[in-house]
Amino acid sequence: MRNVHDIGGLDFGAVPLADHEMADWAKRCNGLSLALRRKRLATLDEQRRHVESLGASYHQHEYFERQLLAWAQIVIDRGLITSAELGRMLADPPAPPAVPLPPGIAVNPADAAPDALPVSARFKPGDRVHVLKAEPPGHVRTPYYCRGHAGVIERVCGAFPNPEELAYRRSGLPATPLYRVHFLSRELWPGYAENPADTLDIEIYEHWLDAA
Amino acid sequence: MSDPSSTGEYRRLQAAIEELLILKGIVAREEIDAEVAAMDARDHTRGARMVARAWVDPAYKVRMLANGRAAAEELGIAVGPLHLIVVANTPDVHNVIVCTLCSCYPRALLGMPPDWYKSSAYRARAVREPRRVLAEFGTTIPDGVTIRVHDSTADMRYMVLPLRPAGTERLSEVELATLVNRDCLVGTRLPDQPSSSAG
Repeated sequence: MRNVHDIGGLDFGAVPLADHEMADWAKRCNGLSLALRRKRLATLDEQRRHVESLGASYHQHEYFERQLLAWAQIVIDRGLITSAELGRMLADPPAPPAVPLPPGIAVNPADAAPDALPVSARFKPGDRVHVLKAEPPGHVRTPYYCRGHAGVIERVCGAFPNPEELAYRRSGLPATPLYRVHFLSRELWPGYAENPADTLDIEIYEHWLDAA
Repeated sequence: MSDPSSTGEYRRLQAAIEELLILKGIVAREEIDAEVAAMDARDHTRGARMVARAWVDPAYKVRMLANGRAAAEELGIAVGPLHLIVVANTPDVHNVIVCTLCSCYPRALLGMPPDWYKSSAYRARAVREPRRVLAEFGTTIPDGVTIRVHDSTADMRYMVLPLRPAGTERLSEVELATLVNRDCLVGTRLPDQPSSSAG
């Protein structure tokens, strides 16, 4: 089923153009996220999974509010802190926690490695492909709007740990080939009203693609 | 835990998580400070330097389109493990970047994205009616030009190489870089026009 974050093609009115300075807590939330990911204590896809699990409240929160709520879940899910410790800290901020960190924190591969891994790719540029029309639960990076549509391989991006596994604290290995797939916008969107030659490119992992 | 319902509650929740992780020795405050400082130090002027170089050096442009990260590093711009694809506008093609699923953006190069880039309206509509969205930015793309939208949802990150504005033949590379605003690197605006005295 179409998840709450997967909004490509929907209508949310005019784009709000006013820009705001980030709040200090949002900057520190982002800095904490980067520091924990740099230490391989969590992955970007875990953050995304927890954000996507906010359900109906997703659209009531702003971007960094969602990110902070996700990290509150991740640090508990990862066993870095307990819910009880967090509750006590929130109730009485100066109190230090009594419980030391348990040994052997799980360490998983973090975000994409500096260089794409060697790739043995099923498709090559120019190949026509179909995006699988499927609605699996969980964290996926294939937007709803392109599922079931045919496009052309634009390039092979390399091979990357599978985000659908990274999101659940697994390695995502072996790395899966990632492609850029090129679509005609008028084939994606019924009644597309702009230039019929307009196009859309999007990255799709190989297990979502079949030869067309 | 109940949902924080005000900014103060988000501030307290962030502080509580940070304090606990520091007290347990999982992360040092200085490490968070360093990430915040590094992100604050990044902005669109780093991309603007690359664009201006590409405008004056055709061989650099070729290298930039082949490997965005290497092209950044060639100018001494550190971008870490960023997989950067630079897409070039032409008289016939205008490129627009969006992330419909979250707000993927080349932060390691350009810093944090603007608020509009993270908005539901931009994320939802840029893929389906790009000209109408760009019109809200005051940007008109002629009907005869093909718009190429790039939905940035996986491991690559994207930057637009805009067209060099007319009337800038006599400008230096440094002067050209000042015309490259943040939004033209995403494709929602065009570069600034040179002032008449500069041109």
